[in-house]
Amino acid sequence: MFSSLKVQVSAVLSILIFLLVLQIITTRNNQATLFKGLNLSQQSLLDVNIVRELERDVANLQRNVLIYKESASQSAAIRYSRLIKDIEEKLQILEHSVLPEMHEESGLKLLSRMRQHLADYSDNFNDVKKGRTRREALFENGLLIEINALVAMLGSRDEIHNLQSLPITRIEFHLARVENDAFNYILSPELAHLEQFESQIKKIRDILSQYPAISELIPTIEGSIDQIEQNFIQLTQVTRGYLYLVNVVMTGSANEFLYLTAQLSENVALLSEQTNTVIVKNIEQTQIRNDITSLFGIVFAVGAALFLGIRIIVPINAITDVFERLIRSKKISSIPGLNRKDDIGKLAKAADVFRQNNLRTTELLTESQHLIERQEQLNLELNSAKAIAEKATQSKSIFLANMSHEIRTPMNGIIGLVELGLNENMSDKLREYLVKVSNSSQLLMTVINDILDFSKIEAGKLDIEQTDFSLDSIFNSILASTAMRAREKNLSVRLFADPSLPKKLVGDPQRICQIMLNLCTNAIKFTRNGTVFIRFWGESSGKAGAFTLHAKVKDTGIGMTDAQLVKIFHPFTQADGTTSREFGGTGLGLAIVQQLISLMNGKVTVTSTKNEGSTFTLQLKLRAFKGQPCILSQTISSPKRVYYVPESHLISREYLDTITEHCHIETLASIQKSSLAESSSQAIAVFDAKSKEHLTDLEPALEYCKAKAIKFGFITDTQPQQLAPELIKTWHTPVLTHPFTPREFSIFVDEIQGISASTDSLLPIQDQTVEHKLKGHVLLVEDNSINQAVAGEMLKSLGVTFDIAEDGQQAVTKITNSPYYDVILMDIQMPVMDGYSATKLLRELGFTTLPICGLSANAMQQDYEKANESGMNKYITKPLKRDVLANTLAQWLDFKAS
Amino acid sequence: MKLTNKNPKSIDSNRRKALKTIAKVGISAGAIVSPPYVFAKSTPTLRVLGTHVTLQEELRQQAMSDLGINISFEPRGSASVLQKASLSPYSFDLYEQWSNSINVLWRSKAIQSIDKKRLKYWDEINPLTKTGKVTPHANYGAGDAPYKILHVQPDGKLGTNHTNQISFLPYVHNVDSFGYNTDIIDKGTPYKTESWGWLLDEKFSGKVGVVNAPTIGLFDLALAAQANGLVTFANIGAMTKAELNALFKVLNNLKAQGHFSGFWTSVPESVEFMRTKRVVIESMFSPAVTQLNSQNIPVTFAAPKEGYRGWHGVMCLSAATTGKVKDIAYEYMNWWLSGWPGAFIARQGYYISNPQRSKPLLTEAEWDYWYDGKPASTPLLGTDNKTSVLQGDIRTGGSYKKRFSNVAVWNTVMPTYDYSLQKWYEFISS
Repeated sequence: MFSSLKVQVSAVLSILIFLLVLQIITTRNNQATLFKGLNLSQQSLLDVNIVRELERDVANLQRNVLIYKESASQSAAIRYSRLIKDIEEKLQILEHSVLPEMHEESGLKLLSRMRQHLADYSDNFNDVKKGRTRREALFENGLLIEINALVAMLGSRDEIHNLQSLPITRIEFHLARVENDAFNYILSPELAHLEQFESQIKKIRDILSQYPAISELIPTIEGSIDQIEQNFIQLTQVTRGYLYLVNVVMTGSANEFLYLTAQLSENVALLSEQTNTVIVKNIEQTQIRNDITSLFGIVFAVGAALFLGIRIIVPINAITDVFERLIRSKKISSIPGLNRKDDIGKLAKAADVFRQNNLRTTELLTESQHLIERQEQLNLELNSAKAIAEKATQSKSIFLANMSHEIRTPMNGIIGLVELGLNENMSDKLREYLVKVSNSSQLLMTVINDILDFSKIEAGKLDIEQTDFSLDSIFNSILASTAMRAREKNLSVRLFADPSLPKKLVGDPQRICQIMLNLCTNAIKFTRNGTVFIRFWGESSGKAGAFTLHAKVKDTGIGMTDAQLVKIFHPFTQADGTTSREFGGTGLGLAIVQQLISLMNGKVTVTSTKNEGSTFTLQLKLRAFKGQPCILSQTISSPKRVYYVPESHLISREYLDTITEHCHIETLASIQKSSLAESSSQAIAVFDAKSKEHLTDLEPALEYCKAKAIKFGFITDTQPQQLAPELIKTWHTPVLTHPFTPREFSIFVDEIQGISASTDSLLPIQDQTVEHKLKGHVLLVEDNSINQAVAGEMLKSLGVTFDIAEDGQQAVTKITNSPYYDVILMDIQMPVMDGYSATKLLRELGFTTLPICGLSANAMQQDYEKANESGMNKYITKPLKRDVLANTLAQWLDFKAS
Repeated sequence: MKLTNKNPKSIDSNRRKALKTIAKVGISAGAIVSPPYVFAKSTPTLRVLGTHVTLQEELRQQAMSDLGINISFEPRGSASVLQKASLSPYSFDLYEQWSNSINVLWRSKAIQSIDKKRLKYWDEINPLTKTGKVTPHANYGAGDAPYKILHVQPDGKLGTNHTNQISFLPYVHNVDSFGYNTDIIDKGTPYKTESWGWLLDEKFSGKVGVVNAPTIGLFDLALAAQANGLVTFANIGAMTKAELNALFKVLNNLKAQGHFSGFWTSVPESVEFMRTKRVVIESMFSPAVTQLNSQNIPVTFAAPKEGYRGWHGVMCLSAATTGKVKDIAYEYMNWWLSGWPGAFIARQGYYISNPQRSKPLLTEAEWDYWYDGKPASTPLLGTDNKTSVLQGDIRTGGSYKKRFSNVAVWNTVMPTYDYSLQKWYEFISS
């Protein structure tokens, strides 16, 4: 732990701070001591004075006591009490002065003894006062008055009491002596006077004893003598007592008090001296201690500096040097302090790591320089390879375009001619052959289109359109294609679209159709029997106009294993190798589906169980205008009541609930019991028809409806196919066969009610476009004679007249010479002058308003762009389709009045 | 009682008839004979006036516990005690001091005589106070030997003839000399080299202490002066004025030279003198020596070759005490001789007048040391439970009998007492 520099530096600093604090504390202590000492010294001087005053006071006290003893002077007594008070006050001062600072023995204890002596002294003085007073009393009353009384009594020479015979003179003499002795004793209290006194008393007693019965007054006289003696003895005792107190006890107390005072004075002086000595010593000690602390501090600081220098700064400098050298990438022979265990050691180790890293970096640099060189070489190689690859890709694209062109052109001829041929009268056998040729041609075109699409997608040349389209058209396209194929395999197809879906969406309808057709074709392809379910639903995604369209295609086909599921979206892959053998196909379909979906920011998922079927679910991010009608909704013509007999649940309840407010689900039995009549005008009945046999079961109910004049219709499944025509034939009512679009359902309902205001009819309309003939003159610029024939036949069938130019040059000449063409159909790839150049030239020549429509087997986006650039108004791909051509021409040409 | 105040009633009545100005005295006399109302309290309190020598708290507690009475102690300096007692007999019930105060108290009629018959242990009391001699060859000792002042004589004076009335209860007593600090003064040989003369030895000038009491300290100094051949006395127990003059002349000279450091008035004070090294030699009482020794101050109580100054404790009954309090005063006197107190004070170095009763309460080692003058066979504890005597120590002066056979003088109130007071004053205040 101590190896850490932090700890070492902290320790050094702590010690320095400690020394500083120590110094401060010591100095403060010394100052405090000094201050206290000075105070003490000063106070001592004051106290010594007080003590001196005490001495003087005590001497005074003694003097006053002596005065009192001699004279009982009241003024002495008053002075006495004043002095006592003074002394007590002084003792009080001393008690709170320096004495507490002194040793108890030499200070407070002395004071306490002084107090004790003073108290004793006072007590004793009181006793003295008492004694002195008592002596006065005894002398005055007990002696003098008593003696006088006795003398008076004797002097009266009382004859009654027979005192005359007494030697009164002698007694009086002795009494006088007694009185004299008493006075002497008062003056000088000596035993001799007492003895004299007692001898005189004794003499009186002796005299009296010689006259025992002379008078009855004798005992009184003797008693008086006794009393005088007693009083005198008491007087001597009292005198002795207070003399003893004054001479011995009080003097002793005073002496002791003075002694203690002297002692105290000495002690205080000593304290003062000691204090001074201590102060001086303290100052000296402080000086020395400060010197030592300072010296030690300096030494320690120098030591610390050296320590820090040697231990930290020098190594840090060394390491800094090392680092600087490392930064400058200079060579490092050795790193100092690598063996140390403290932070410097860590730093040194870091430097070592740094050095090693530097070395490695240098190595790496060299290595990477080599690598860069190689990289550059590789890049060069890569560039050339890329160029080659790009060239190859370009070649491939050109090849593909060429292929496309080259295949489409003959195919165009084949398909067009077959289509035209089928319109001719021929034998059934020939017609069958031609139909097969047509189908095979269509198939071949699909394959070619797939390959082209895939190539376009791969080349990033496929664009997603953003145009508004009707969902119904999508449904129609899907069903038109799938229903036919399903019928071929006797499969059922069901389409269900959420009635709340908007009628129109914005997106790429062509590609959506392509996706759905791919999935549906696959579903039909891989399903041997059962049903293919197609379902649409969607929701607004909250953002302005954003709409998510969901679709699900579910089959009951062969299904896939999990392993197969993983790779089905890979191009050129089918679930397994056997698939293509069994089911055919390029294996591009799902790859195209997935890529198209991802181009539309959608996603596709698949779940499948082997031998049970597969489900493809997809969602597409589209847009929808707000506030538009739904694909299915109630209208004025909608029936008030619908009675539905769901024998096989062929109609979704949601469809029914959407078109009517009152939907009654009935059975064959229940429908005959319900009171249908009352609402016959606005009520319809719909029956599920399963088979011919089933019709027999339906009959009573149908008859009942007929009887009740309830209009009704049938719903049939895709299979059996013959059921629908038969129902129409038998009951003359509309029949709706699965699969159907929501719109078809709506029309069906209307038809039951007998409303056919809508132009759309479910009854097949024979070649609608044929009746719409166009009026105009067209220049067909086409080098290929077959294409010339096909296009020519189509134009003819559309009712337009046309002229042919073999190439661009010819076309320009023809137009310049005879500018009466309403539309130019311009092939792109032609000898002499291609379509682009011809168009450009024509535009340059001033034919700016002349509609020019490009024709090309090239189906690449760049072709459209090029066409646009060159000044073409429109661009259609080959093989030409009659309706596409008709629609295109209709933009510029008027319809013939029929 | 009768002897204390002969025919008090007749005197009083006569005086009332004869004297007009009797009032003041009458109050005083009346106070003596009529019991003050405070004594009528149901739990009587015995008021004991005395010195620190016998007025010790342990004794008071023990006595109260043993007797079931209240006792209050008023310990004072010896002079103060005497003065208070002689002037105010109504302020105390029992008086405890030394025998030299008896003459004063008796003459001032502050105390009443004690009835021997009410003293349970009278017969056990040893000859010291009865005949004056503990052994046939013992000195009586000069001055007021206790046996001379114990018995109340028919003429009301105190004398040696035995009567049923005594002036005091003989109890605690001892011999005193001086103590010296053997750290400073080489230890002397008892009865051989140790001498009162040391007190006046110039070697110890400024370090000498004397008890501040003419009836005690005067004899210490007289014995010292005599020992040093400075003064001679015809009868040291009754010095003449001339002898006193000669003695004080010597003493005043020494005083002037600062020979005397202090005059103590109580035992604690004497201890303080020695403890603080104010003195190295001083007149002392035995317990002070014991106390100092227990404080590890090496003080030796000398056995002077000139003989000891003896003192005898006296317990006197106040002239004013009567009735129930008087009864418990007797109980207290009897308690003192009942053994335990004797044993207690023996451990402080004092003797009791009937030591045999205390002997069972003392260990053999204690008896041997304190009474028989034998070496202590074990360390002995003082009354403060501290070791006061080390094993092997021998009491200075030897056995009880030996010590009391060597009494030079008793504490005494001499005929020249009044004069000595004056001289003493001059001495100590000079």
